[in-house]
Formats: sequence, structure tokens, C-alpha cells
Amino acid sequence: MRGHVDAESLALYAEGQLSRGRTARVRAHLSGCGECGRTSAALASVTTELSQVPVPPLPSAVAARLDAALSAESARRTAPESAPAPPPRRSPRWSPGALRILTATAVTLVVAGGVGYAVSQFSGSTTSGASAPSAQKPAHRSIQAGPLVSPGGRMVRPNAGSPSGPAYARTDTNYQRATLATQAKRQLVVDTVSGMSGPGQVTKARIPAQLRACASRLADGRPLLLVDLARYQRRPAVVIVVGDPDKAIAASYSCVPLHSAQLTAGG
Amino acid sequence: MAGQPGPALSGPSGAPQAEPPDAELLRRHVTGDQEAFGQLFLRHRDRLWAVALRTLGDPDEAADALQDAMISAFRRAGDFRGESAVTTWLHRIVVNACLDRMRRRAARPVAGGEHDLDLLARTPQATPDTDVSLDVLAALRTLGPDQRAALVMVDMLGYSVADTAEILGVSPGTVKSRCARGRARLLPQLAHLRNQPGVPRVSPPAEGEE
Repeated sequence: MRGHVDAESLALYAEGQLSRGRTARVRAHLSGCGECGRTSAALASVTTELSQVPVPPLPSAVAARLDAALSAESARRTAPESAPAPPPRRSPRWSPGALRILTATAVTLVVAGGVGYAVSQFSGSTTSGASAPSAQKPAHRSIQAGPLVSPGGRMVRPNAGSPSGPAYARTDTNYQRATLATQAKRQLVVDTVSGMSGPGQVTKARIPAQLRACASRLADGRPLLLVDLARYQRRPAVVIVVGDPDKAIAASYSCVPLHSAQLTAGG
Repeated sequence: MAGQPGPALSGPSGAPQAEPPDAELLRRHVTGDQEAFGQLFLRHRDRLWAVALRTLGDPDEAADALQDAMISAFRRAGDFRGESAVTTWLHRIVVNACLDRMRRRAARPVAGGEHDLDLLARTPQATPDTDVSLDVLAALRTLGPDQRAALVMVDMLGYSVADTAEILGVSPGTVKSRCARGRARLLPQLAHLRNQPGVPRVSPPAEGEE
């Protein structure tokens, strides 16, 4: 066999999915080729890497939504005269046009985590409220909060684990790699202390749908505490803060994660 | 309840069960029991959530898909013929809901486009504090629905090839092929996690023959 075996063939070989003839050729090549041996081992480590990604539990908001939908469905079943309604849905995402407006300036910063936690870390500058360090209850995150489940049992915003949802901000902070966690924590505290009137506070509608969706993906089911359109290393970026455990993540507009850092007690 | 892991696909074993088996709950539901389906779904929903979340890669979409699947299972319970385990049937409904969404999403033009928004290049090398999971999940999103579903089930969530094949409605060989091709596609994207881009540091195999 001339040259090297491509990675796909090596992967198929490892799974016994090549024809008999190709299997024999790949096996013969592998016996004398260190590079293809290394590629084979690297393929095996892909499996390891996949298996090590933690699986977050069902967020309580989603559980509540499922319960509500099931109750509604059960009620419909017992009242056959009413026509079956479509299952509850989430509200539509934002108009795509909004995205282009922001691309020139912003980076998305998503910050998720316990707001109460963040406040407790900065007890010297805390005003009041939000004193319970419960990641489940970010007490002051009600900026754009809507009801989680509408009277009809429809989920309005099924994202974060927090009943009030994340804070959205457009601070234009220039987050730096070395200080991402510290800067993000400061942002959380500023938002918390100043309540709804933080300088960079924006309404949800000012954050493009794609970047909100990006934030939600990065949060990966964990509670989303802050979404900040800002900069990272001077380039437009999204910075988010998520909880469980509290972590700041910076990502590009195309939702490529760039850096993440735990929000530690020391700052 | 949320803290308890769902039972294995093959069903709980070992300790004697006070709870009725899945098939019994489904039968009760079909015959009008108001509580049975909720009890059944509660038992499996953590696992089903994991499958939906990892297959779709988006919590909002996963929540939608899981809800769609739950309602669908609720309404179609009478169609269940017992040819497979109830868990397999539930998984199949969830996975199909996810795949439908992924295909619809693929058919839809992406507003704004990913490419013109790629304002920041990927950091070339992972640092110790970079979240490996984020990189893996981002790479996983580049796979097509079929490869992705297979790889999520087998490599990420640890389902057997046989169970995955039954859930996906394909042969075990197809599951293996999809996983293999998916791994090969992920390989260059995850190379930076192994210190030396493109040159994974592993020792060569001892012998090709066995």
C-alpha cells in the first residue's frame, strides 16, 4: 500500500467494517507504519474524549415544562369534545435581521452561574438582597423575565435553570484571556447591585437570536446567568456566565468557544 | 427524582421492584389510567434528555424535541406492540424527533450565515483551563445527523451498538460505520486537544496481526 491509510479507513478497519481485501491491506500496512498506528490510537482517543463530556441533568425549567405539557395532554384526553391542540411551543426566535446590525461591533459574552454566589463573593460591595448563595435562585435576574409557563402551560422561555432567565448586557467590555473570570464576575456584581439599570443592560430583543441561541448552546442546559455582547481580546465576542459550576465562557459570533474560566472565590 | 439515574435500556435488574414494569405502565395508560404515562416518562426522561441534548446540541431545541416526543408517545401508546422494550420505543421516538429537527434545520437557510460571522479564529492550542467539553461539543455539531446520532449514543452516552441499532432502526454494521466515519471527521478538529496538532502523542501499535 503506497502512502498512508486515510483516517476514515482506519476507523472503519477498527470497527471491522472494511471488505476482506481492504482489511488485509490495512492490517499489513499498519504492521509497518508508525504514523498510521498513531492515527489509529488517536481515533480511539476520540471515543474517550466523547465519553468524558459530562451530561447535565434535566434542567428544572424543562422538567416543569414537560410536566405542564403532560397535564394539558391528559386533560385533553379526558375532555374528548375539545379538539386536540398542538403541543405547547416555545416562542419564536428573533428576527434574523437584528444580527447583522450587531456583527460590526459585538462579541457575545455569556455568563452563567449563581448570581447569589457572585454577590456573596463581593460581600463588601453588596447592597442588599440576593444574599442566599443558591445557584438555583438568582434573585435579581428579572430584567427581561417572562413567565416560565404561561397559563396555557406553554413554555415561554425554556432555557436557563433560573426562573427569571439570564441578564442580557452589551457592555463592550474588552475581556482578556487572563482575566476573563474576574471581569465576568465583576460584570455579574455590577448587574446585580445596580438592578435593572446597569449601564450595559439591554433588553433581550437587542441581542440577536443567533447569539442567544449560541449562549444557550454554550450553557448546555446549565443555568444561564449573563449574556454579554462585548469583546474578547479586542475582537467582537459573546461572553456568557453559566452556573453549576459557575463559569465564564467567551465565544466568537460563530459560536466557536474561545476560552472559559471558572469563577473562583478568590477572583 | 431528578437525581436518580434512569434504568438501563434492558430494564432494571437486581433488587425486587415495588414499581410496575414499563410495559405494565404503558398498558395502564392505554386503558385510561391517568397517572401511568407520567410515571413511565419520569422514569426515563433524564436519559431521554441526555440523548436529545447531545444529538441536537442545543438545549432549547432538545426541550422542544423531548416535549414533542413525549406527546407523541402519549398519543401513540396504543400502537406499541411489544416487539421491543418500552425504553427502546421511547428512545426511538425521541431520536426521530431530534433527527427530524436536524434535517429541517439543515434544509433551512441559516440567517446571517456562520461564515461571515467567523470573526475570531479558533485558538490554535488548548490551554489547561480551556473547557475540553466545549470543544468536543462544537466539533460534534459539524457532523451530519446520522453520524452524530450514532456517535452520541455509542461513544458519548455509552449505549451498546445493538441497542443503538434498534433505536435508530438500522443494522449494527451501519451503526459501526457511522461511528467510524464520525470519529474520523472529528479527529482533525480535536487534534489540538492532544498537545501536538495533527501528531497525536501515542505509541505505535505493537503488532498489526493478532
